[in-house]
Amino acid sequence: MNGRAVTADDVIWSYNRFIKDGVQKAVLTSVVKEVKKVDDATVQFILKEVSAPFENTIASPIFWIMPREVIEADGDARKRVIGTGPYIFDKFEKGVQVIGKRNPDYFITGVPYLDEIVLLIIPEDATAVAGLRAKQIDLTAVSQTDRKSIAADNKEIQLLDYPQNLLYILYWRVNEKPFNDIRVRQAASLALDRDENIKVLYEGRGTYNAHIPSGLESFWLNLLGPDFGVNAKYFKRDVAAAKKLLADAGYPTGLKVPIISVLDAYGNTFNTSVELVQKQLKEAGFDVEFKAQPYASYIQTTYLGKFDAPAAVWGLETPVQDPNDYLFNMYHPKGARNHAGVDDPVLTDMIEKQRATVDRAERIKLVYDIQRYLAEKQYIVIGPIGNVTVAYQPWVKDYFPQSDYGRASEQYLRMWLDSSKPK
Amino acid sequence: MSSYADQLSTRALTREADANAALKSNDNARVAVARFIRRKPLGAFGGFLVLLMLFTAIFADAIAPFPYDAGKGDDRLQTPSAAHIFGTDNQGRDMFSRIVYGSRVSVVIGFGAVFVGTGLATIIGLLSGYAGGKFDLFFQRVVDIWIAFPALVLLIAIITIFTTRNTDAPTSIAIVAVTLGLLVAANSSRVVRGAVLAVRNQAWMEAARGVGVTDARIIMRHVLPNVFPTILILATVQVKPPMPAWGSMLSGSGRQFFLIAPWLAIWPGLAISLAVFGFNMFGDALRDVLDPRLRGTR
Amino acid sequence: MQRYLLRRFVLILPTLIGVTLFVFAMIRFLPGDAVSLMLEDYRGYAKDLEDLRAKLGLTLPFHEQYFNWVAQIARGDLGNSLRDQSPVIEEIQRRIPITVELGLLGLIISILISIPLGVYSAVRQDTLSDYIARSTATGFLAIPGFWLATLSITLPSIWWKWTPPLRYTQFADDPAKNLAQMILPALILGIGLSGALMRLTRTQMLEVLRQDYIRTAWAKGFAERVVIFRHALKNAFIPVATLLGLQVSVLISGTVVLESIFVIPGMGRFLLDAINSRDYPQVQAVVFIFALLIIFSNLIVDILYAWLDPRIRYS
Repeated sequence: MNGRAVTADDVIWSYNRFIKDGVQKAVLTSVVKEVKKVDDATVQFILKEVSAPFENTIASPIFWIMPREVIEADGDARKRVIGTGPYIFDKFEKGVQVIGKRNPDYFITGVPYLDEIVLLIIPEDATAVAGLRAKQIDLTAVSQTDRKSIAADNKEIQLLDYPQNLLYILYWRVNEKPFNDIRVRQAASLALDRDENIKVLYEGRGTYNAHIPSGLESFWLNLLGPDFGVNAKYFKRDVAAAKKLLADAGYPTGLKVPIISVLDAYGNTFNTSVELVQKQLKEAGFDVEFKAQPYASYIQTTYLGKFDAPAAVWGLETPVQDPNDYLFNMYHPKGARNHAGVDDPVLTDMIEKQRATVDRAERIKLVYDIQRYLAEKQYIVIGPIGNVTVAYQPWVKDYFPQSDYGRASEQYLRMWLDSSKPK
Repeated sequence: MSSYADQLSTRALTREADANAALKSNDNARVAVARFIRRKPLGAFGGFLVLLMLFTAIFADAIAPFPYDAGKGDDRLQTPSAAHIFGTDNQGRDMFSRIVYGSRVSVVIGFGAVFVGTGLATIIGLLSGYAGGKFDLFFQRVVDIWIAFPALVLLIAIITIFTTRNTDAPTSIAIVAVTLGLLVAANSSRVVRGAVLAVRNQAWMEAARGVGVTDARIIMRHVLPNVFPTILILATVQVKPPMPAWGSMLSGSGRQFFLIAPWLAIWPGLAISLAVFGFNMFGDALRDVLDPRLRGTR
Repeated sequence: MQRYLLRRFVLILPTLIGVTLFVFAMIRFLPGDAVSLMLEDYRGYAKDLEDLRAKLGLTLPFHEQYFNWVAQIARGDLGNSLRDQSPVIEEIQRRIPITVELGLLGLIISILISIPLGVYSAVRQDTLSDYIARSTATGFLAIPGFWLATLSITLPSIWWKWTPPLRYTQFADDPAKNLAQMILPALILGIGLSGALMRLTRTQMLEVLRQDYIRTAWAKGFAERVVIFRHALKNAFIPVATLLGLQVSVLISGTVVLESIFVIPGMGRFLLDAINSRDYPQVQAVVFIFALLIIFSNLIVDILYAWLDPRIRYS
């Protein structure tokens, strides 16, 4: 970093700074008791309680290790670009590009192979795909629809598919009518046609999410697999069963309810899902009336659980790296994103237990159990998800995708181009 | 008895006269229409398109073979066939039915915005242009503020502010129409004022005091047709799904799927183009025929 | 005329105050704010959000915020972005020339297409040539710009494996490369504008051609070309000039889609992003600059009136 190595002191100083002044200090203060130095290359975190997800917490993209001297000299991290990655920041032009040059002093010798990476900022999908076809762009993520036409027209282009940890969520206020009735929630889940969603939104290339996204592969329990148990039935579309549940709950002629969603933030695929979900719910006896909310107000009100019942909300959950981030945030009474206002003592115990279980295999089992439990309770109904596809030119080799928030340059660590790249 | 016979014959005479009058005015209208068609073929074609659009919008329920929001994922992206003459869209819905229902949004937003915009523009432009002096200066400053405001900001702001709280579909369409009308009005009022300034001092005009009529036609002709495409496209993007609107069909699924299913873009694109074309040509021709100074020339 | 001009200049101030006050209130009236949008992930700690708002000066009363901002502008400072604290002026300085270039190219193209076409169409009213010219112009009007743009970036990439350059190059650095990127969007912009301009030119020409002094000129046996260009066109140009003045507003905010599709870092996209992220200082600054541009272009239009039509007197 700026010619010197990162030391334990940097780490300690940075975390203490987050704890003291950080805008999101609560994430740390709730767990961390003290940060201690062992030696120059070792730091010890002393926690208030056992926390299995802690590794993922401190590695989340909001906590960056900062060099003390820079922050003290400048007052904040705004004036200079600092880092330790495989590429050194060279230039950023808003709306145009970010350029990184090879870091010759990277701690793994010999890499990266590329001298320079240019990240072009392209707001339109159609433009990026055109650039790929015209060989102006080496690599870009593409939608499943574009994937289909690229596969048909440009056979030379390589396509790499991988799962993503994004959740489509249908939520409401679980402590108020009508969704305080488990039968109504189950009916909503039975109404969703997950196969149709995958077909329409992702050209048939996707998976069923449980309450843990399929992108978190080791923790996700496959709904279509043999281990899930009887509650998997709540994820299979059954219009007759949904109508019967609604009737049992006191709505024999259907349930009239507004559905809130956002159309100005998540793009075409999500917007199409809004139409599909309305149609599917209608078919199963939910008389939905759609209300669009602008994103900026949605994220400040509805998303935080500030909306009036009765209403259902169709949205997306921010992708995070640890199952606890989903379970604790969304279903624990103290969770930061408990949209539905869930407060179930049994579930709370289960969530706290997996959080305190450090043994990975053991923890996975507990997370599986929670998914089976949530499949019946359906506090929040979860939609299916499609793959992400990265398309790249035939001359691009050894690219490794990473589904994280920061688009770290580590994905291009060992990437190289062969000589077939046109000049 | 005789009085009864009198009554009968009077009645018969009246009826005959009525019939004659009706026949005559029918003839006049027919002749006028025929003349219009012969002399302004493009305008007549435009008028036909406008009428077609109105007709489709009014009788959409009867014309469309399917509901606009019903479809199965399994039937998606079908090429045009006997069952679906325009094919199906990415959600398996009948494209023809969606185009038919889409005319409603276009008609309401289009006419609504034009109505609001034209009305306001006429009032402001005429007042400002005729009154002149301090009144003109003041009004033009208000219009300045109005115009100096980027349309984009106004559009987003008004729609965002007024559609946050539980608005239903018809209300949101009305809001879009009024917003666009407001945007149109500021700019058009300038055009009106410019025209007024140009004719204000002409002696023959002052004598005739008929300027207002002429200007109203200028507005009708320039405001209405020229803003129509913007209205259709910008506005319909705001319409909430699954309610179909041509603009959002083209900019949404049309753009997304046109490579693997071109008909998703072709039909809404064609509908927009024909509507805009129709309105413009019809407007042009009407203006040419109605303007007293242009009548009978060439 | 001089007194008129002086008065107009003096009156720019209240207009500017009106615009700034309006935008200031309006964006604060929009639901959501920059802080909540910034912290949308890992969020939920209300106290932390309030701290950040206080730090950014968003908790001050409205009039205080406004006066602070006006004082700032008076010092020639457009403020800093709420999101990344970068000075707004830097971004605007970089983007204004790009938007002006695109706008001017579009305007030139549209004038080149529409004025000759409009005049021709008026002179040959109701002939086949008139129909063809008008249909073409209306056709231009009838095809949405975003659709033309999508087609013109996608189809060549499939047919000829070609697109315009996607990495923006400044005109000063490499004019050829810059124009290669700008020409398609400028063409689409120009085509879009020319529909309206052509039709207005045609009507105004028709209007003017019927008037007595033109008929007199005709009767006197002047050559057609002379009549049209010396007398008619000049008068017909008055409303056309108005429309041109108004297009300034369309040009700067109507290019968002073209900027997005052709990856041009202009003002339209910047403004849209600023509104969407509720970055008040950015929105205010852009609207302020636009307001200045529009006010001056309208002033020029008014002066043009007087020059084009001596019958208009400003007192």
